[in-house]
Amino acid sequence: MATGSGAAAAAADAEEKESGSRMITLTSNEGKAFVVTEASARQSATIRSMVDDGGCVDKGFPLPNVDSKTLARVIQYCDEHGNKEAHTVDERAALAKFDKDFIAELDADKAFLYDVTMAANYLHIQGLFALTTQCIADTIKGKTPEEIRTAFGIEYDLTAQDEEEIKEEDTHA
Amino acid sequence: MEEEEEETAGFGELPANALEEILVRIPASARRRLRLVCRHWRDVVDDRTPERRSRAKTLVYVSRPAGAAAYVLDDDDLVEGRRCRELWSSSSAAAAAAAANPDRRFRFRMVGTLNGLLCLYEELAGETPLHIRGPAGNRLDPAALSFAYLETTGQYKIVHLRHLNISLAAQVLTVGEGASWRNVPAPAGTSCSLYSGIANVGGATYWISKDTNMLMSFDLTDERFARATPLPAASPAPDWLAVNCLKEVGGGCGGGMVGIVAYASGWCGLEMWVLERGGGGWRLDRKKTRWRWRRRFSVPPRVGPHDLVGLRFGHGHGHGENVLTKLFGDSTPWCVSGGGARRAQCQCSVVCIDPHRSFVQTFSYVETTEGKLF
Repeated sequence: MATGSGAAAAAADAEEKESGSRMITLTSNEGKAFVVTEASARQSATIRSMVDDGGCVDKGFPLPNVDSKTLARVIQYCDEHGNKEAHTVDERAALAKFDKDFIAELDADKAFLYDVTMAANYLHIQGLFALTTQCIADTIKGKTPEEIRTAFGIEYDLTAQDEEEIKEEDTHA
Repeated sequence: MEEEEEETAGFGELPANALEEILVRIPASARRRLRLVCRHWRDVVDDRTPERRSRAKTLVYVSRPAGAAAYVLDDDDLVEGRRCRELWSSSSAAAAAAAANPDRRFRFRMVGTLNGLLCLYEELAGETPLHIRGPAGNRLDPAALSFAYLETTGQYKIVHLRHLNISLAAQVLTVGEGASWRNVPAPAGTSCSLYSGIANVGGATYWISKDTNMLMSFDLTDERFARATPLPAASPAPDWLAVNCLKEVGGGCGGGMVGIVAYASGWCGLEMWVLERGGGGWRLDRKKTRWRWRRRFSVPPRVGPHDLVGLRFGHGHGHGENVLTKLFGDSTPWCVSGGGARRAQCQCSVVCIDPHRSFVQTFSYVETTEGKLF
């Protein structure tokens, strides 16, 4: 709105709202508000259904299970996939490259990868959830159970008897 | 609702559905070895990953004045117009008797199916076909009956939840043990909403309280009223809730989950929630269990107004989870399938089950010959 007055800008906003390209506010559990396009927010099936149910778009959506750092990263993904077209080969290649870089960065920080996976699960962001779970699966492949526990900080809670049972079952499987 | 412990949790505590999504991306042989990581991983591999799952199918029970029949949908990936396989139908003699007595509309009711066995209730006689009489002095209400199998002891039990004045009692019968009913009074204030259904899984019977706020349970091993779990808060508040067992136990494999469908009538769509036991799996001998609700999927409003008939979960890699619904009026039942993490969109297809006006129920049916009764 380079030349528009305040009133004109407000009118334009109202018009934009009518046409469906609304802005949606997502609030992290730390109370930080993130304003995203509706197209971006619709990457989340959870938010999509709330918007379609005529939910309180104006009041925004508080996300009590997601912290600011995680939400910012999730929005980065949603913006890329929600706001960009994926019709041509080039466009799709650009998105694939984005995904590759996005997950490579997360892979380096396992705790953060966990947070993003949890958020994608909670928000039902199909593409992101597939991306993070595949990344975790790739990490697991080729590792022994011991190596997996170390890599993911998992506590060993099987009793000797449990372990024996599992090995027993495996030999009969 | 219990506090979620995810804040401090690491990968060992990934919710079962997320861990399942990860584990199905790993070859089956390697996945079995991952049971040695920790208990939670073992339970998820055992209970939720494909090759360990029982081959449960959807059984549709149709009852109409002329007789009743049970059909099996052999394929979870429903194809429009697909026909179903008839598994059982009431005998022609029974049909003739019903025709001679036109007032009696629905003569048979199905109570449940376990390990390939069907448990049916015959209204005319007030008995089940096993010729088990109801507890002395009261008539059985078919809607209050449920059929359970205890993996630990191999016993089959029939549970009848009965409201006596204002309090609830569970009447329990062990099949094949002289047919004597035991009466277990519930603590004061316990109630049951029979319209929401009754589910048996993992050695317990589950139902929803009358005020539709709590998921109630009855321990079938000790035969006592057990844990009550608050239902997830849904918005908007559903008009109707249904409880059903997801993935019935079959042939000694794995366990199951309790599923809740929160159902808002009209055009508002429906949501499926699952109560998961984290950490301890579904075997009764494990004490360390945590419970939490997960939303599995929601069916978008655009599908249309539904008269919810039942639900069951599918199984196996790539298979969805089905909710059987019926459009208002005398239309054909619909099958809606959704897929938790795996499917982005709920798919809807019409499966022609029965063209006549009928009473329809769905069950999870496991085709097996292991379920020998006596």
